[in-house]
Amino acid sequence: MNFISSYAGHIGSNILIGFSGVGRVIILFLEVMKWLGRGLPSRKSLVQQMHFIGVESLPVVLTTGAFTGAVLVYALYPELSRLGVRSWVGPLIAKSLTQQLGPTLSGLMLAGRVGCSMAAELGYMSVSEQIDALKTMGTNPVRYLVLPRVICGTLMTPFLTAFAMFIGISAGLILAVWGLGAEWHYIWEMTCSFMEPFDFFRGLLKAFFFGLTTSLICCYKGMNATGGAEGVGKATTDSNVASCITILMLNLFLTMILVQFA
Amino acid sequence: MANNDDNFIVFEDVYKSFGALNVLCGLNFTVRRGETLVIIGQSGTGKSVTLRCLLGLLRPDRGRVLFEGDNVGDMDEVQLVELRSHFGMLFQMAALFDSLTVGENVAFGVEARKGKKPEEIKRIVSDTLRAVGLPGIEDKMPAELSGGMKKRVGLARAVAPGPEVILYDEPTTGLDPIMADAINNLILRTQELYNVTSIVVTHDLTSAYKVGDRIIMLHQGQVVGDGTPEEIQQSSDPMIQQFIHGSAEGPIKAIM
Repeated sequence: MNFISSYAGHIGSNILIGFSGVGRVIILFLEVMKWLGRGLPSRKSLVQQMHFIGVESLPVVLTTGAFTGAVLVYALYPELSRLGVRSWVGPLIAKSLTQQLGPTLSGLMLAGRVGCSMAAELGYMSVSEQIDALKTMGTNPVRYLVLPRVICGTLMTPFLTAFAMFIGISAGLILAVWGLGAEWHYIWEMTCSFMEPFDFFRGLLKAFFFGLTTSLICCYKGMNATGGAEGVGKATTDSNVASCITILMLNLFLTMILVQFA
Repeated sequence: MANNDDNFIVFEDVYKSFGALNVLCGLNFTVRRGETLVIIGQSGTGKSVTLRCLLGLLRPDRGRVLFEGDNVGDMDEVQLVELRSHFGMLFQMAALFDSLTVGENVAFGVEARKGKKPEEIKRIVSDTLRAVGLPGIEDKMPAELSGGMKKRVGLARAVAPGPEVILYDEPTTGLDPIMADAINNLILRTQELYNVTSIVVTHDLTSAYKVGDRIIMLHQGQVVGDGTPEEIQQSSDPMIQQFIHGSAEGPIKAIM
């Protein structure tokens, strides 16, 4: 009985901690919006972050897109051939990459590469008193550190996702034609007739929200790291877990909303 | 005016806890304008927390921290930014910004506070680095510096904007005795050059005796000794005697 009540208490306290974390991230978001309303951060910090989040993430995102497109073709083509609708492979790959896999996998990869780096960098700054030093010198750390990361994370994630979609669909179609012997004319025609601009928009909108939530969560976790190297490690791990879970949950939520407009 | 200068900084019955841990338990002391006050005491007695309460980085649970008569605990973010413009702080591990060069670190506070022209900022940075004995290292990164050099750059960064009060958090910790003495000389020189009020938190007694006009000793979040370096050395208080002689035996329990 004691075991059950202590276990229930443990679950309850974790749920409360989770809710309080969500609240604190929302407060951070409001503070970011307040600073954004007062002007953009320096051009230097924006360029630095855009380069780090955008340019340096391209190889990871392109690789993810290309291999996802290729795997989808290998998984779907034999089944579709058996059903006699193998030209559907084009629209199926394109739909799944633009609406679901492109934004979700890009978001998860960026949460790993960019989000962890944000949490670790800000976490180290927090435990080494650099954030206190910023405040002491009259600089607001949210404006100086969080705002450029959130702006660039939010804008660069859809940009990278668009690349992942393009490469994934291209890799899939090329492999279907050259590797599996599909007729280019049919699958291209089918793809063009089934795809709509809204499919791309839907994916990019999701990526926008994934970039926003990931950068907010990772900055929040980093800024609140305490306790030396162990604290930085914990902040980094927590930020990655929280970002990935949020992306998966948000994907379902946004899919449910966006399907109403399809 | 004399009264204002005597009560330049006032801690009035200040309490601060972290969960069940009571760090400051009714802390009372004043700092006169222009003096160098040294705060000594065991690790964990609230010395660094005291500095953070003064800067508004932490808010006291009870009591008041007054700077020129204004309660820091009641200030909003805008007022805190204005308050902090009166302070410079040398952090325990220097807290230099890793992604910026030494020159950018020293210029940071000057740019944030005064809106000076780039040439003037460059001159201030160069002069301040020369004053701490590190001329011409503007383009180096903090990772390329030794511990003592980092502390000196940290001091240059604290001094460059021209603050009224400089706070030193363990300025000699982790340094060899020669470098520690060089830092002590720099603290004295800074006092002479810039005529600032200084608060030095340390448990290095050599440093405390050398740089302090007045020393207070904290124990369990309260002031247990207050006097000039000579008065502290000659005090008959058993806690002060135990601390300055570095003895594990006495009224202060070394291991709780």
